[in-house]
Amino acid sequence: MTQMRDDERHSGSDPKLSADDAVLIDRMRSGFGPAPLGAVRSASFDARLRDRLERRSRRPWAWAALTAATAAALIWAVLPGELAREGQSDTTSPAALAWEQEVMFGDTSDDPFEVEGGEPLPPEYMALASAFEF
Amino acid sequence: MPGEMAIHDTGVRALQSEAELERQFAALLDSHRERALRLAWRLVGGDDAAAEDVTQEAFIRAWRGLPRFRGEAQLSTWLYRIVVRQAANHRRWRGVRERWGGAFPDEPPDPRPRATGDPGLRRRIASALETLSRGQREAFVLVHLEGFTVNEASEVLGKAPGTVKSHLHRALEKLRAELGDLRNDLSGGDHDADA
Repeated sequence: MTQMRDDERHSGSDPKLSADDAVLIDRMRSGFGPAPLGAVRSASFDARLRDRLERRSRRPWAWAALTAATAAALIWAVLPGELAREGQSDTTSPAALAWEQEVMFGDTSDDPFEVEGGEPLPPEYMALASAFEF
Repeated sequence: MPGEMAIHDTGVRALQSEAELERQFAALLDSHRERALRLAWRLVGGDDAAAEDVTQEAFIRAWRGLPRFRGEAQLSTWLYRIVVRQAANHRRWRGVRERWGGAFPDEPPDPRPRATGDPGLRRRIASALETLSRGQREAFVLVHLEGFTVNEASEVLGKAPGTVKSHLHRALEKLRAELGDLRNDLSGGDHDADA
């Protein structure tokens, strides 16, 4: 009864049911189903379906708008950084580099005896300064 | 040669106009709305709102795919295939929601009970169907509850008729064990109607 014959399995014919199984299936079919749709529910089903179809057909525009908004947000977020980096490249001029070094490491001019104003020290002062240099 | 083209193109029907598509879709909806909804209802375990959602989604997909529909199968077979897949998707997501508990709060239940018959029996049958594997449940619902032939069901499910019959056989074995009392009891389904 519970064994399925090979010819039964491989043919496309519908399965044969015992009387008891037929009763079981009949009870299941009648006891497990939705109420019939009827004209009113059919109409409301169709109306909701039409509404969903219309909303879906508008969705490509929503996607386009969303994509544009995302792109704008990305540009807004990334561009100021790029501009700042471009600004930073100005500070890499020799004068700016020298300024940065001076701020961080003090005066780094090669000639320790050169004083502001460009006037070189007299030779005796230079000799004295050399004596204290390690 | 145009004549030859016409013959070859019978399989790949380029549906000409929007009006023609709408006419086909309206006919499909009119002929299969009720059966598609009933099939979805039985596959999702008797949930009215879910069944309607699944059925509508299936019709939306059918509408979108209609221009590319190849006449290799019947339009209705193709629609029911979409319904079965949508129902399976719904069940999978429902499983995820249940696993994650309160992370996705359920929608409030539909206050209008639409199913017919005894609620206790309905719950028993729904629980018994839950014990089946997906393949067994789909085959059983299509053939035994919806009246598809084995060949039709095999086309809808994309499985060999032998596979469908194996599913039916195993499904019936399990359902006999779960609902054996219904096989002999013709008096009614009030076993746990008070539940």
